[in-house]
Amino acid sequence: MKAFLLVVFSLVLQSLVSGLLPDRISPPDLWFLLAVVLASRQNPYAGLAVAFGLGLLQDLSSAGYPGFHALGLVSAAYAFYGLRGWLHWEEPAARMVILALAFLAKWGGYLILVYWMRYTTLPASTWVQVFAPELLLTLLLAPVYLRFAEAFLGPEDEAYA
Amino acid sequence: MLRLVYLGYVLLALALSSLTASFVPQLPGEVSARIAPLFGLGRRTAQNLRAAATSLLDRRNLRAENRALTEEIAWLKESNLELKVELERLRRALAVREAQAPGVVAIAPVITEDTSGLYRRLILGLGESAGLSVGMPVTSPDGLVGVIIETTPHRAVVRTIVDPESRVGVRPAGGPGRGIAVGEPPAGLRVELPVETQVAIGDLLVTGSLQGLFPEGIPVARVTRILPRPPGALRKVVRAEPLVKFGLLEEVVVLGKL
Repeated sequence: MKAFLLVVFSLVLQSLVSGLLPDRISPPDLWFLLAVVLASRQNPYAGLAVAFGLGLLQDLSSAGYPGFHALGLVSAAYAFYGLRGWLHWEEPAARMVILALAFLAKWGGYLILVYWMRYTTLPASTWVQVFAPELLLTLLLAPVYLRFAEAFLGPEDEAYA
Repeated sequence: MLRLVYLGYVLLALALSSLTASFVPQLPGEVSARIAPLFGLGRRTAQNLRAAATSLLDRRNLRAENRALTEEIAWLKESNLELKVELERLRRALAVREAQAPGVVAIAPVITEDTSGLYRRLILGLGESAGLSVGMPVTSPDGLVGVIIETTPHRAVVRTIVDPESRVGVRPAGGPGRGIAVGEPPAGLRVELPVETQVAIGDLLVTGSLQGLFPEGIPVARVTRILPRPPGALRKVVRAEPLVKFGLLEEVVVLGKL
């Protein structure tokens, strides 16, 4: 139930932040942070499924083709699980590194689908304009959001930590 | 194993996107429209917050604009006041020019009076640099003030008609009889007139010396008292009160020397 409320809250917050920022600035990706938070509290199989589901919801909410964001978030979750074996998620600095690399994995997933679909509406300039501010703002917002999410959801399940 | 699962999701995503694009391209839009209210809540909140911020900024701009306009109004008021003062000065100068003499040299501010109780002199805020020089008559719309007796580049000293050293040739405004008005501090004049002069209390005395320091016909004083004439006296002595209130003078008109 708490996870569902966190999803609702995060999505409302995402639209709120998107609305507050000027149009020319790409907002932080709370979908991504939400997927990572939920993945950090699930076993990898469930985490991938949740990430994929979130991505599908994002695709549908943005009237995009199903699979685009789903592939991005599931790639991020997959990278998260892989990186968590190398870096300590509990340490703030390592957490930021994991988030940054998982973010790159998300965009890697996007690139796979863009290549598959031969998207012509996403030129390289768009990617550059969106990627940098989104990464920066996401990493800036991440400490606050993660702390809130952890406080809201309660202690992590040590079995999956 | 996890890698296989991930690859499965990748293939699923590719398949979903391909199938949706091929068979139900309208599906994403329909779903998006249906779940839009959920995201609209945050969006509307953001819009309200932005509108509130814009309103606050506008209000701050209004405050700044209001402050600028207030300053401008204050400046305009001050400017208007200065113009009124200037207009009044010009009116007085015009009145003097029309009534007394055509040779206005300057309109000088009265800075201060001398501090002695004996003399009655004024210090003007203009001097030689403004064309003032010793011997120039000084007057005002009310009447004669005195004469300049000392100048510096930016100051001038006026000996008023009530100064004990002052001598002004006067005559009654309505008739003949030239005399001398001698200053009697602090605010009086002692006027010696020919004994035949017809004068009464309240009569106006004006400048009237021939080839004197002052132009003809400038109002000087009103007779306040006629002193009894001793037997055999050759002069009629009267006391007069100057028309000019020296303590209230703010500006005077300096006339050219005759």
